[in-house]
Amino acid sequence: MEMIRCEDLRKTYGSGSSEVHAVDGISLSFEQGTFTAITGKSGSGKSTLLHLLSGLDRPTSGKVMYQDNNLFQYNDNQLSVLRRRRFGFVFQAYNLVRELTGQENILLPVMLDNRKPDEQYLKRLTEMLGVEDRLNHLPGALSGGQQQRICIARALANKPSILFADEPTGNLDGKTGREVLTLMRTISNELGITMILVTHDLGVAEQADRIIRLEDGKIAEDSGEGAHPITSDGGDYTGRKSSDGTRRGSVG
Amino acid sequence: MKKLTINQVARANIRVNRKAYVSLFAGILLAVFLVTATGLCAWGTVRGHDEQMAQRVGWMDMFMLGSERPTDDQLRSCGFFQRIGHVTVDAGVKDTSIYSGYYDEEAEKLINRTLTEGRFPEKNGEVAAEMSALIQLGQEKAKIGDTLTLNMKPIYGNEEEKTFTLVGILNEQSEYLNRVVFSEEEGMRLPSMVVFPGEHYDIGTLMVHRVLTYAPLITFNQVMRNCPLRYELRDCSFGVSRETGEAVFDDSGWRRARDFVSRIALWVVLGAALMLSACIGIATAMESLLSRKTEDIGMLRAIGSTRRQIRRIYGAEAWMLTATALPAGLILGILTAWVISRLAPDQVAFDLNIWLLIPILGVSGLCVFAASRLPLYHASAQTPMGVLRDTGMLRRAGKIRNHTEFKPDRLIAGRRVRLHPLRQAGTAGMIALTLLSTLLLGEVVLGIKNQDGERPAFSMYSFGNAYSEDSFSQCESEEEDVRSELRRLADYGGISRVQSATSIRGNLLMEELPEYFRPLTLKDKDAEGNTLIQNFSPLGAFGTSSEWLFYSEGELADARSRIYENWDAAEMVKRADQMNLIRDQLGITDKVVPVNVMVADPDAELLKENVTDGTIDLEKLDSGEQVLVYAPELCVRKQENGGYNIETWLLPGEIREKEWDIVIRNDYFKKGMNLSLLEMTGNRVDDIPMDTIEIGEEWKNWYQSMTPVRNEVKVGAVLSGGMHINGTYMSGVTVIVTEKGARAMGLKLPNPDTTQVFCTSDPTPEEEELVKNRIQSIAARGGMSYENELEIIRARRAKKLREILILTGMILLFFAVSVFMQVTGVARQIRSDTRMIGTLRAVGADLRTLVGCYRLPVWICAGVAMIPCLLFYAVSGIPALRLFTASHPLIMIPILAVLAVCVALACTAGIRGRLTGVARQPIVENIREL
Repeated sequence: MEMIRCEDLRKTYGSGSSEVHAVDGISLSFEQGTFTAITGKSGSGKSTLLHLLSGLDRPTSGKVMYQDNNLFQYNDNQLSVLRRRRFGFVFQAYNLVRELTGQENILLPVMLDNRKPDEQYLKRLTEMLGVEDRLNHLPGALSGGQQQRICIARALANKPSILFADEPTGNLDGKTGREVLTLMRTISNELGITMILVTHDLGVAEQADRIIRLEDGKIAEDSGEGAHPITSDGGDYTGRKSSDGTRRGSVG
Repeated sequence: MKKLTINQVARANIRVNRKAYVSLFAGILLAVFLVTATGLCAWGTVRGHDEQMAQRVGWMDMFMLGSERPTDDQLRSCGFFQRIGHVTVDAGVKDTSIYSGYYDEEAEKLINRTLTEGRFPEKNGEVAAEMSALIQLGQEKAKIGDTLTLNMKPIYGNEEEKTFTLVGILNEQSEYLNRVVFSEEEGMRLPSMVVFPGEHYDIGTLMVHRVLTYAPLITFNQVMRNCPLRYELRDCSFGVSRETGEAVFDDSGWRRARDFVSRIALWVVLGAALMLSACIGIATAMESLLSRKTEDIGMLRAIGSTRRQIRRIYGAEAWMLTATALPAGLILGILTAWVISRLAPDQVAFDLNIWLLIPILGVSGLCVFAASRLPLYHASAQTPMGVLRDTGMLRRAGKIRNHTEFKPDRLIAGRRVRLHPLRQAGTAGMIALTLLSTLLLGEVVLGIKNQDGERPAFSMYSFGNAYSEDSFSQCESEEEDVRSELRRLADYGGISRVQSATSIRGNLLMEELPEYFRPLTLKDKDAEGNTLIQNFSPLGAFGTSSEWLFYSEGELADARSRIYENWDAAEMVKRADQMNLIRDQLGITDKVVPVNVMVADPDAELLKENVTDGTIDLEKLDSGEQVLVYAPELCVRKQENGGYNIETWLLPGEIREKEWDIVIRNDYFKKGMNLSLLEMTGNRVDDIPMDTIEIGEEWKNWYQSMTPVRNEVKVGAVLSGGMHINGTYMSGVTVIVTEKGARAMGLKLPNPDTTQVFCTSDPTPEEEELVKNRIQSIAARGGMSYENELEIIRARRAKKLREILILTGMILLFFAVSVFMQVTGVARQIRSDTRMIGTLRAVGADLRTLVGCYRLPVWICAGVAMIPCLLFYAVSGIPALRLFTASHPLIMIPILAVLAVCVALACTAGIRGRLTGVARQPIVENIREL
């Protein structure tokens, strides 16, 4: 079942000779419960695409359809509600509120939604992420890995439909990065969460069901499992595994 | 490679990030502006007062009336005086206290004799006069060029009708200088009309007065105590008060210093509060600026900058901004002081003294220096890693309670207040000033209402119309009886009531004298060792001693033997003899005790607190059946400089015995007791016998010519403490009767001493003119002076209006600065919080939540600002402090609360506006910024 899709999505910065097409007419569809990795070189537009898909940024043109509704026709309040209930976002720089403790940061989307926290779920979540003993600390007192785990817990606290992650392992060492990713994967699988992750780490991308490689704001390659990109002429283009049967990774 | 100086680094920092320095610049600008404005206003208050005093009494320190001794040479050589000027009086206007004369050059300067209009006389027949003199002459409409025909009485000469041409209007001075000059002797006043020297009169002489300035550091008291000429000066010289602009008998330095301090105290307190607020503003702006530069500071520390270098770099920025803010701040401050001086010209003079710039610049610099020290030390004291990880905040956080359920906006805001408690101090201070100004405004506005409510519209005064040299009797007034006309005044439009008070001389006939009446004779030595003898008696009416009443036969005989050598003894014997004459005439053996009788209709409600026994029953008072008796408690205290001080204003319950050396309590007058009251009134002033030492036939005839009026009355109520009836204050034992009561008792009444005419509300100009003319006419026939209090009320209202304008301006300024400081402070915070805002938006926070993150500190500020205001309100309400004359109403508290809420709402609106702008940006922009 399709969870989210974008149609002819474009994002342009600057104008005239300095015009940059960060995302240049991308159309993609993401199925529920799949794990998609978006890769590409620096400046290829992968983070911009993620921001557009998650509604954190507005496109120059094109649509992002979530459950058959265009995200950009929502008003600010509707988008806020959507973000706190349906979307989770893991930032590369963690972005924790520094005045709140680890636990308070995790509870933030739940509290913003005026709901009672699911304590059992949150307890399990923090245990799985290994931060149950760091919940009373302010972010300043936590290591990078611990902050990232708190950030993931916050993104998952509301049991979102889609988890967007922007280089979640970018600031972590290889081992910690892998651990964090495995955890994300495990929880997403358990909850049936659609996970869209931006990375330039080949090892990270390898764990995804589907890998999309961007180049100059366009899709250069799409491993396509569970995905149904729409071609510019309207016909279906289904990315497949390459002829040699292996998934092609790309190094950003 | 060129060497990079710290100033260049600081300049570059400011240049590349101007926006970040706006708040700090604004804080410094505010500090310079406030220092300049309050400094100039404080100086202007002193100058304004000096100028006002110069208008009233000129630059002289002392003046000598009439006396030719000591001579000018003696005065100059004694070393106590510096400059001497001469004022010559040639004549007076008949039946007035107005004199004409002229000044020598020195006197003209010292007395600051100036013209408000026209010129000084240049030939005989020309005159320049003070407006008050023209009004007294009934010539208030006279213009320059008009002729005045006056009945002049040259000094010791004969009356002559003279015609003068009015050539100038003089500044008002004689009103103040002649206020304490009691002498009725001809020419013993400073002239309020200036004529050309040598104005010719057929018969007459000239009276020369002298005006003097002291040598440096000399005062009136020193002259009177230490000057070798003091004995000659004692009877003819008067000091000049530079505090009140009046002639006085002393001019002690401490009072002058106290008045000086009280005049500028408001500005000092206000200036200190404003500067403290500006300093807090600078400190918070600096702290915030440096907190945004933590990474730079960490980097500088990491590459080896010392703490001192860090302080110098960022300190240099503050000094550069000060240099930039200085001209604008100075100009704004000067403009503000000018506006204030225009609004309140009689209180604040505008005097741009170039030397004032030195303290102004000094205090401004001190503000910036003091305010920037702490943030600079804070910033430079951190370790490189501490800066980068913000361990300072973690340390401050300590143990914080983890919340499992919370409102995110409130929790974030609350945590911020806890972690940065002083961040909003500047705003809280400014809101407190806004509220305090409002409190003052409320007091001023309500003060007007209260004062206006109590003041009469017109007052009439008459003194000495019941003239008598005798303590026991009086004589009928020569003036026309105007009482019935005064009563009819109440029927005029706009007049609510007419009340008057008349003092007459009465006597109590008593078989036995109470101990309460016994005078107290106290001896002491003054600072120079001279013996002081003071008599105190509750019967202090007319300042006469009642010692003679208690004389035994032996004491009287002793006094009689000394009547030619001792003035006091002669007075005592004279009174005893006069009493015996009266006793013979009445055929009684009772003691005749002179007592003051006050004829006035008392306001029972107003005097309620003064009643110590009984009740005021107006009906019984009007029927003449009852009287009231004012019987004060005398509290005597020894003074440090010798002699004793006496107070009569305390109620019996208020007297703490241990605070006084002697207390005389009324143990005689009680409600219901009978009094035998005697009034003796002669027919003609000319019949009053000469004031001879021995009481002979003339006095016997005088008493026999009278028809004594004797009444047996009951005391309805006994009163005590500080009180007045219809504008006349009580001092010694006084019998109070109403006007109807006095008529019922058959007492003979002269015209009232004081009459007060009250209006229902502001009368129309036509009504006022009508009443004024009527009162003028009554006053002229009754030999009374009158004052149009409405003019005084109008002048006071105009003054209050200016005060209201100043306070309103201050409130608006403080209000705007409070909101500006809060909103710019939060805007600064929002800029550095962009990432957090982006994060909150990314996890689903809406605009309301974002506003909530910044709203709480605003409300806390408003709440905290209420605390000093409520404290001030409570303290100023303590009766002993008497800070305000207004009623100090409770309504001020909700008004302050509403104003605090308004400030908070305005701040919140500003914050919402800022956040709306941020929320319009895509979230990714918020997050990307940092």
